[in-house]
Amino acid sequence: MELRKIIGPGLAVLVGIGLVGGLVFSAFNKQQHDRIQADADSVVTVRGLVGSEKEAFYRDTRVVAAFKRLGLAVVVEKAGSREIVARPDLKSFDFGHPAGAPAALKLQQAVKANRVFTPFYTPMAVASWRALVPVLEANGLVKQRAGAYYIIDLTRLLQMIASGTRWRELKDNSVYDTGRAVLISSTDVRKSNSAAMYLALASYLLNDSNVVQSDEEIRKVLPIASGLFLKQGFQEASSAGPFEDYVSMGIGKAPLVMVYEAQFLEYQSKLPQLNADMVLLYPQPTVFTKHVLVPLTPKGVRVGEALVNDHELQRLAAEYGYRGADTAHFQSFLMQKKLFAPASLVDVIDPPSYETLEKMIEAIAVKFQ
Amino acid sequence: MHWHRYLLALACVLALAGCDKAAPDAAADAAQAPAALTILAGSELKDIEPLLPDLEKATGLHVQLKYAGTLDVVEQLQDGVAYDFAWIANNKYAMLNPPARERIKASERTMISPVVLGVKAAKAKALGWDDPARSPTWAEIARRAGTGDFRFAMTNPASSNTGFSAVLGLAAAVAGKGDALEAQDIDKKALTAFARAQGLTAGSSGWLAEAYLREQDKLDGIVNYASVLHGLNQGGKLHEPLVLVYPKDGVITADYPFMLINPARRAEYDKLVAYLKGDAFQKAMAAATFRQPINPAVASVLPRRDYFELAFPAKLAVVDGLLDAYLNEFRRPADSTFVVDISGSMNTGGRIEQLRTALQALAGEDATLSGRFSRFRERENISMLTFSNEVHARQRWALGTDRQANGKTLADISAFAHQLQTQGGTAIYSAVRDGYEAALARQAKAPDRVYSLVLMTDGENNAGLSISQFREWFASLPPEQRRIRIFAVQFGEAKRDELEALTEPSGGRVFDGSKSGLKAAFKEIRGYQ
Repeated sequence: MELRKIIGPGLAVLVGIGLVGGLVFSAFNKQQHDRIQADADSVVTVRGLVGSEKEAFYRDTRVVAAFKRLGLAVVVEKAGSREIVARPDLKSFDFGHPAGAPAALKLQQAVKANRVFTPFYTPMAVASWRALVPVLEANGLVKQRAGAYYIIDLTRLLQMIASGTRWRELKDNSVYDTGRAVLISSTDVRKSNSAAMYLALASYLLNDSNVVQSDEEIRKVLPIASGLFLKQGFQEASSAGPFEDYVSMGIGKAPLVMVYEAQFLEYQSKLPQLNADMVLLYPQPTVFTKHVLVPLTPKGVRVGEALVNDHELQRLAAEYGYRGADTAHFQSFLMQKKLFAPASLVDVIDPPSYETLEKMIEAIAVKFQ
Repeated sequence: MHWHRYLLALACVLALAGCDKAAPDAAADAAQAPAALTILAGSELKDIEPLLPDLEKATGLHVQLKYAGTLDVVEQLQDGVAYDFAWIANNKYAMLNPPARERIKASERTMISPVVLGVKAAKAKALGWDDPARSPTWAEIARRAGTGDFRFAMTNPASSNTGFSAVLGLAAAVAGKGDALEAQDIDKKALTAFARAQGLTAGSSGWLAEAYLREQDKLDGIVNYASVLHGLNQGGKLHEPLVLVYPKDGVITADYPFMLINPARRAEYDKLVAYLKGDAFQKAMAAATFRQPINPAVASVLPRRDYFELAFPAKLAVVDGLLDAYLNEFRRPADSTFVVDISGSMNTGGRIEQLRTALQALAGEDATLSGRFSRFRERENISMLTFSNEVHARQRWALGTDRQANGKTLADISAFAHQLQTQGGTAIYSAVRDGYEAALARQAKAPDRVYSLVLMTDGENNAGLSISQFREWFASLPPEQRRIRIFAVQFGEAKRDELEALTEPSGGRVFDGSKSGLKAAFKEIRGYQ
């Protein structure tokens, strides 16, 4: 900050010499000072630990301004959603805002929060490439309906992953000639929500379209479910990683990436023009990632209330690709940015209970050793 | 003092940034020059140095880079050495190492460069590798290496990220599973075939590129970052341009993560990350280094190519196992000569003790990460010559593949190092010649080994051959006998220029043992042997 550098030494001198300060003071309009005074008094700083996917939202100057209007200066740090609860410095924050209901529930229990807030949510989807769509269609995995691409046979796709099917072995594949195994890349399931949601989805399908509940069911789904993650090799802890692979390294690194719909839409909306090579595939069924804010202090409650109730904040959340209680914001965002997304997704499953998901993740973690 | 509070609020408004920050801090900051923020950086990042003034100007932050090899960075993180940030070519190995991972509070990629094979144009054409549409697989590359169709330069995979990425890429690709490598999938035959063709090794990617320029007529190619290879092609010093070969089944890409180590520097970290990912830096970086911008909106100087990325293993044991196997089983075995000075002056300031410890560390008495990867290896031949005004001891050890026998041999080496005593004057160059001639005699019988000679001296030459006499002798050797590289560790009063004159004709280099100590210098040299 150039400006600050110049102001800094001046300020040091001024603070040292009270007289000069008085002079500067008198040179300013009294009314203006009263306003500055009022702002300085009423704005409280609130610290939040948020899932990495929401970092840009919280740092958006318009979001900052909207919070400021409500007397809040929100300062955030990002972390893997599943890591938030384990942070040794958790106590130094006013709220946690992980992605995913299970991670939020765990946090809520850990900090004994009475109230939580769910200002927005986003469905899980698979980011892929237009060039691959014909191959996926030819193999009966993907189908276009009403403008959107759906993964119509995710169960079979999971089985292909489990059996080590190569891209080269797919029917009518002349575009992606590689011995690489078909895989959906995700974040590290031990650390991050988006991978945990992938697991939620996979375990449901592998359990004959039932939410996994019993230990027996866990045992049944694990052999295939753990392979989905182990076969990927090294994984990034936060959801920004695989998505960054997708946008910066492209199809050669990331043909299929488990992402939040919001991530994809927000990225596209910010490009000077839409990248038509990128497509979003909606698994059928899919699962929602709810972005639940868990307050740790009364100041955190204020942030939660603001996100749920403030019209402007809801509108801005839609600009980040999130869906909220009022779908109008999301629809007008799509229209404005010439983006497409299905208005509603009907086939949506519930994630397993926090304990069940945790058990599955722990069992997979052991296999990573 | 009411005016005081007004002033603080006013300062906040004017300064725009950091209104939550107490103004007295800002005043204190401004009153004294800010201390430099420390960055532990991979040696590849030296080419960023010219861009730092702009970075400092734009961010108002003062940064200081301290360079180290990738493995060394991991070790320093693991050991808790204090830095504000770290910045290396690839941090996946660090992220698999729990104590190092623990220290990485945040990580953001900054640029991209795949590790690929640069092959001389005519050779690439002859091998059919010059058409990007028909790139060879790693298995094909390994096969051609095994049949002696081409020889290449590559860094030591345990010391440097490019060698590491190539070996990992090869291993992952030839395992043939198409997903993450597991220990049981390592294809020893392919890796051994590949390693046979490694005609030049080094401990760092930058030095390897320089050494390649010197020895390019004896080699067919070099493994390095695509950006470095592009730089060589642009640099005007190549006798023949290099074709960049991206193996068809994929490569491992460096993504240069910038990491927060000191959590108290979060605000500065965010500022630096924003700058590093911003258009200004990305553009300047792409122009200066030829790396690809991480920011897809910024154009790449090096033509963008489509290539596959191979999976990085998920388990530390897989990576470590591969490195150990490369050094112990796959690589061409080394024949390493150490010519060490035990003259009277080594008796001062604990020098002889340092020498003993350094040699004992190489014999296995160093449990650190760098110790693990720099120790004497299976199948390696070790010669040690001690000298003062004459050569005292000429000791040789041959390590085999039997673990128990090797343990005994290493204990012998350690005991030898332990009993070293100082005496007499300093006849450096006569001793080096003595060691070199013995190595030549062994080379004539077993030409497949990787020969090298390391001189460690702490003083001035005051007996025997002079440096110019040594150089005359060296120059009189037939060219094929001048290929054993001579390295020197400068220590104490040793003369840098003389040591450079000694090492230069052989393609070796001088390492400084005074600053970081003899042990560190010896470990670094192991990357070149």
